[in-house]
Amino acid sequence: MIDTLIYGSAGVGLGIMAGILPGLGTGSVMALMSLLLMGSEPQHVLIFYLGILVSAQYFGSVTAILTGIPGDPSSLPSATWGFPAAQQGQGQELLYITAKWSLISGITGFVLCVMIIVSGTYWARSLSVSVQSWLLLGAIVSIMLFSANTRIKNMILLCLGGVLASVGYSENFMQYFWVDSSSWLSDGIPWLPIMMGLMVIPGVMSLLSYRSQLITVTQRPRSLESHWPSGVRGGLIGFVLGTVPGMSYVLGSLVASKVEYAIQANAKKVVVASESANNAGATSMLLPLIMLGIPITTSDSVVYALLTANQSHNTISTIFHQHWPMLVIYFVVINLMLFLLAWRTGAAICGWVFEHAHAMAIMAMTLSVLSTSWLGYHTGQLSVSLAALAISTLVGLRFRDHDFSPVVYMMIMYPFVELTWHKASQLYF
Amino acid sequence: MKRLFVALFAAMAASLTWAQSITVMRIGAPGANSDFYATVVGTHLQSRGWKTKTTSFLDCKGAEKWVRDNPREPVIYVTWADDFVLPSIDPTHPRSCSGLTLDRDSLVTPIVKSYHMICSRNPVTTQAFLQHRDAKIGSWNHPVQMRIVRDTLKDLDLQQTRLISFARGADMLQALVSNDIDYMVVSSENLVRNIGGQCFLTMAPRGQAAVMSDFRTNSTQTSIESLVQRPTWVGTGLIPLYVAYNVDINQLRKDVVDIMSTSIEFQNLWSSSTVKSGVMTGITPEQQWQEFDRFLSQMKRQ
Repeated sequence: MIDTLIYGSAGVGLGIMAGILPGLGTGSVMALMSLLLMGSEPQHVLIFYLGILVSAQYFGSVTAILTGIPGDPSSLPSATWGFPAAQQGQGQELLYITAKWSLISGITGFVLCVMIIVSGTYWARSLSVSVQSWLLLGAIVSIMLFSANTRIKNMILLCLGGVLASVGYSENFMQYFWVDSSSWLSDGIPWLPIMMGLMVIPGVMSLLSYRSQLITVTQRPRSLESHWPSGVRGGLIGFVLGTVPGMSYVLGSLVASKVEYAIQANAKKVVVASESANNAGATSMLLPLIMLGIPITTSDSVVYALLTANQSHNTISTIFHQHWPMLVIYFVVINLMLFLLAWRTGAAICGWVFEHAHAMAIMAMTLSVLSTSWLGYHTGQLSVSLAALAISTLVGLRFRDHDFSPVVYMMIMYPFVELTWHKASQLYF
Repeated sequence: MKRLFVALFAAMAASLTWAQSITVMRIGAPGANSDFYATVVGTHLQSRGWKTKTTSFLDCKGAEKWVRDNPREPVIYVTWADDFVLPSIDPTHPRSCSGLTLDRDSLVTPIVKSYHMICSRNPVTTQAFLQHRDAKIGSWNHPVQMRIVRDTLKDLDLQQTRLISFARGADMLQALVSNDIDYMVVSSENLVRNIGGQCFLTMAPRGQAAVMSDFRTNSTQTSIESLVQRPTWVGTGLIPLYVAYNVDINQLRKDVVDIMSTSIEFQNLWSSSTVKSGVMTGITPEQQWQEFDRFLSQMKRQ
């Protein structure tokens, strides 16, 4: 119980920071905490992840409304539509309605997810390897199509990730690829320093030059306007599109905002629809991971890596089945808590985090180097890890505008891809 | 009283400095069985006065290099009996690490002894299995294991049966669940029972087949010896081992056997398993070595 509280609180706290600070996403936070999470019980990893995921959604919209800069990419519509409205004095009302709809759609989405997972996992486990192969291929193609870069670039990055991950000894094929047994790369190239260098450190370094001005919010009587149609529409769109690999809840948020704008060009309703979508999508994003063992975003893939470090990928669903009542209770409690925090004290919390953004950036960078070194030392790959960190950091800083998540995704997923390919080749060729 | 406390703390500090130090080496992919065995023993050795530190390698090549670079360091690791046969069968194989040696003074204890079984999720009789000509059967992808399975299929005149290899048992179980394979070769029937299957054919010698079957349901399995007059392989199974170098082997053996007999992790593992827990711990180290030496000799003869 105490452990659950600790992991839950840490997840919520770090998720708030991830939501507020642009450049520090949920995937980066999971990677930074991976050293601590690697030896943890799998249900605690899930608790921690849910905490980060949910709180980043709440506070991503708070930052977007109050500063015009989305802390989380899925809050872009809130920045586009909500910030101008906040400048006209509607900030407090917007904080209330976004928090309220985050609460409603988040809880509804999660309960729906649990129902689908509990009733559908038996079917998911019975899928033959050929169906699994097609689903996996679909996920990879989807990431290629819907990630931030051009399609060609995404394809190249996915291939690069696959090549990096294939270096070393393959358990499935029982042979070495690209190197021989005496090479210093015979144990392969670990994914963590690559992710730190390409994504985490450049993102965190951008915080060092971050300056932001918060709009002052004043208490205003809440509007009696109903937002139910917008909230429900957005929630449905977000829940469905949240399962799309690559952009997931970000896609849901953008599409919901465009649909709502087409129906009625009302700033508050567009913001409600997009926030409802991104909270619902953040829950449905878990469906492929838990039911099929296929992560669809970078943060999902880090969770996948942490959970499968101790288990076969199929037992993510077993872990969920064993602990879902606790996860549901935890989810409801933190949503209620975050609703109050975001609505009542969102501005104050944002202000505090911005004041300490530089210190947090320095801590995050230190942690990234330390965790990479520590894990490298304990797996006998210290020199490889440090070299990978150095090279990937140089590349990440040089090409800061590029999205390297396909590389990281493929590096983490490659063992599963290789296993599926190996099984399929034995069975069908 | 103050002097008593000082003396107590001094004794504790002294015991810490005099505590035997040992490196617990984890070899293999994270989450594999050997990882579990190494972690459990490493954790419990600390409570028995050992000062432990852990190091991990994805395969035995890294472990071999570590042992070569640290020839006098006390170390304990988990491996499979098959790994000590491989250098004589295929010295160039990536899993073939002749730098990791095994003799009476380095064998701490075999963890458990269990016989291979052929299992299925469908209700299958041995007769039906023998008539299933285009089946797919899964096996752990260790070359020695694959060789045993291939030779056994040949003995049973099932050469058309397709052998599908898996690096991890969990993946093989999943393949059985999704009907990608029809049968699997495994050493613990309980793993198959957990997914609604059962085992019907065993590599145990004829007299032992009934003994080694599930003691909860008293079901019996057919021994390979009942089907084939002179099978190539009899009495084979997966034998995980604790191996140690540069350490007081008698003390370590005593502590490891105690851990295997009393720790909650091993009790949970074996309380619902068909494998007789402690079957290798109840006999003397000399007897264990003889049992193991017999197995190695049999494998190398083939």
